[in-house]
Amino acid sequence: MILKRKYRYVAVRSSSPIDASAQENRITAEILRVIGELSYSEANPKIVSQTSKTFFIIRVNRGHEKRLVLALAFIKRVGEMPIGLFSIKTSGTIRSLKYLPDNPGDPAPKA
Amino acid sequence: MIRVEYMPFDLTSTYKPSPEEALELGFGRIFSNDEIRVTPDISDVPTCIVANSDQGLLDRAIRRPNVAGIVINDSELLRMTLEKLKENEKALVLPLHQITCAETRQRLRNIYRMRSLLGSAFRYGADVAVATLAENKTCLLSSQQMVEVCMFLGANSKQADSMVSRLGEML
Repeated sequence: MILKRKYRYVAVRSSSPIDASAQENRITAEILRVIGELSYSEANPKIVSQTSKTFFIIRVNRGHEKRLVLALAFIKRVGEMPIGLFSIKTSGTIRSLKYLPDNPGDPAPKA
Repeated sequence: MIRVEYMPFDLTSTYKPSPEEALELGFGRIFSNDEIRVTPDISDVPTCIVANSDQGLLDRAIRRPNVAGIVINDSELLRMTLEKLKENEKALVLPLHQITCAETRQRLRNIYRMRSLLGSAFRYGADVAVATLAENKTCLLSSQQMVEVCMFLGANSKQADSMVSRLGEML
């Protein structure tokens, strides 16, 4: 029987526009620097979706979402670019995060 | 388990976030330096937080009615100061930008210092509040991140919720 791995998805807002897919290696390198190799291998973070220039979703193994949220608080630079990464919401499904509003103050887009 | 509703607050130093930003980061409100002034000395502004390393000055500040809390810069926290904080119902404010926005070595030193400050404050029953004291947008944190940082420093989830909402009670 193939066991399905369970994930948690963290919605992240950045303080300035960033191409999360192109910068994925740098973002995950920063996460690795903060949490270390052992925690990184257990959490296995991956950027799965970007809906706007400042909003993307990171997938992480279940049980390690709090560690990821904490790590994002300590990351203030991606490559040479100063940036703040704010975790907005954590969920077990990506669907519930994809429909968060793209900009602060906007109503959520209709599904 | 019934979770009691709480409202997180934050305080910035020079950066002024919009109400929409505050809402999206999960805060009821983010106070700016205009509303709660962070000063190195005792002043006559309506509400202030005194940030200094001089224990004598901090002890005097605690007794002033317009002082809502204190920040201890680079020094130990004396038991007497903690007892005065508890007596006067003032809060020890932990500035989180010192651990999230600092360079690695300084950050590690600040984490150790804040852990011991927090442990001492809890042992003597003093109130503790947290604030980013952010100077720019990158130094901000979401309320979720602030709670995780409090728990990383040694608080349990109930204490972390209380620390994050304490600022609102000051005003």
